[in-house]
Amino acid sequence: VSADSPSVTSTDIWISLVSFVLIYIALGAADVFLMLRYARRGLDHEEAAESEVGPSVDAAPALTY
Amino acid sequence: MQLHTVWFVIVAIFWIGFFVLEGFDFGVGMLHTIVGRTGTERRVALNTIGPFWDGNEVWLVVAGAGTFAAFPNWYATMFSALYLALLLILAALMARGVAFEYKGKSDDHRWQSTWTWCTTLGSLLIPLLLGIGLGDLLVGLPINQNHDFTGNFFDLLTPYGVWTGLTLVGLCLLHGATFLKLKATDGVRLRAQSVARPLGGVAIALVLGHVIWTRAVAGGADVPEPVQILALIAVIFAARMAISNEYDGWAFSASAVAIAATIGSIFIDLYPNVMVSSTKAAYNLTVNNAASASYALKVMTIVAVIFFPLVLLYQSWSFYVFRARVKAPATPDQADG
Repeated sequence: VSADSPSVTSTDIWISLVSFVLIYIALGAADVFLMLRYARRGLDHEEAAESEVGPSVDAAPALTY
Repeated sequence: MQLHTVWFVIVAIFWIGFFVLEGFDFGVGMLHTIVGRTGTERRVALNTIGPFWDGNEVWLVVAGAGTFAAFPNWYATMFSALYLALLLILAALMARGVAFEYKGKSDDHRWQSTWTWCTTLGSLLIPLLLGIGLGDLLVGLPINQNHDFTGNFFDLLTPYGVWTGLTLVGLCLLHGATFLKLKATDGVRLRAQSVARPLGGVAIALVLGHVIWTRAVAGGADVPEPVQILALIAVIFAARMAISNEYDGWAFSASAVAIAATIGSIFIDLYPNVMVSSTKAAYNLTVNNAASASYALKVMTIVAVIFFPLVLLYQSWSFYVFRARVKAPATPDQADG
């Protein structure tokens, strides 16, 4: 108790704790959504795309973001 | 110069470095839906900052960590006073960082627009809130004799702090436009050039107001300091170069100097205080009463002298590796939308 911040109230602590729990749940849900999506899609799609287009030296690289 | 003064300068340099670097990616984040009409163009805009934004963010981490190590009392008071504001900043940093990585991973319309909003709003909120916090250090917050903050969240919204936040948002927007002009191609580059006209005017007005208000807050000489005059000249120069068809590098350098000089002027006026108390000047936190013991400062100085150049080296190297302009691939990505 003697090491806490006198100006930070327990309401502040609750607000921050609940916020972080909610943020991580939301990000976790987004992550599960993506993993399921990519797992269901399988590998065929990727391979086909690669063999059709093929790497070209002159073309601009694919956009990562 | 005493070691605690050296560390005050180092912390100031971290903040300056953070806003010079992360400033342009905040700007790009806020502008990417304006300079990019199609999904591919928006991705081109985001890919100009793709390899850099997370490295730029490290400067914020070291600004906080440097404060913690060199000025534990400053850190304790500042991070307690700004508790809820920092929570908002962290939430915005998380949403924005994840948005860059997740957005292109699905072409679902709702998915894309959610992350687009996270990028835009996060890029706006962070410089605004950090600017308010930095302005508060100088204009003063209610702090008692034990260096405890005695106000609440709304006491943080000081008029000068809010103006500092808006000034940083304006400078980040201009800095983002000059960065896009330097790094993007075709439509994205041209639109960055045309939004630079209104953005440049707004940034000049904000910086001018900030220079005058800072003089009023800091007191002392009525004449602006050299660094404030530098900020004004740089922002005018940047606004002028940004709308030209050439001088991409000059425009970006000028907006970088404008941000650096603006942040620098806050710290110059702050010294030797690190946090002003609006309750009573005697309760101010200063480089003297907030600093670590001299042994700790000595060890940290040795560590910083070794590692700071290394960090600068690899960061410059990443800017060199990714120096090419970003252009859209010949065949649009399938996650286009």
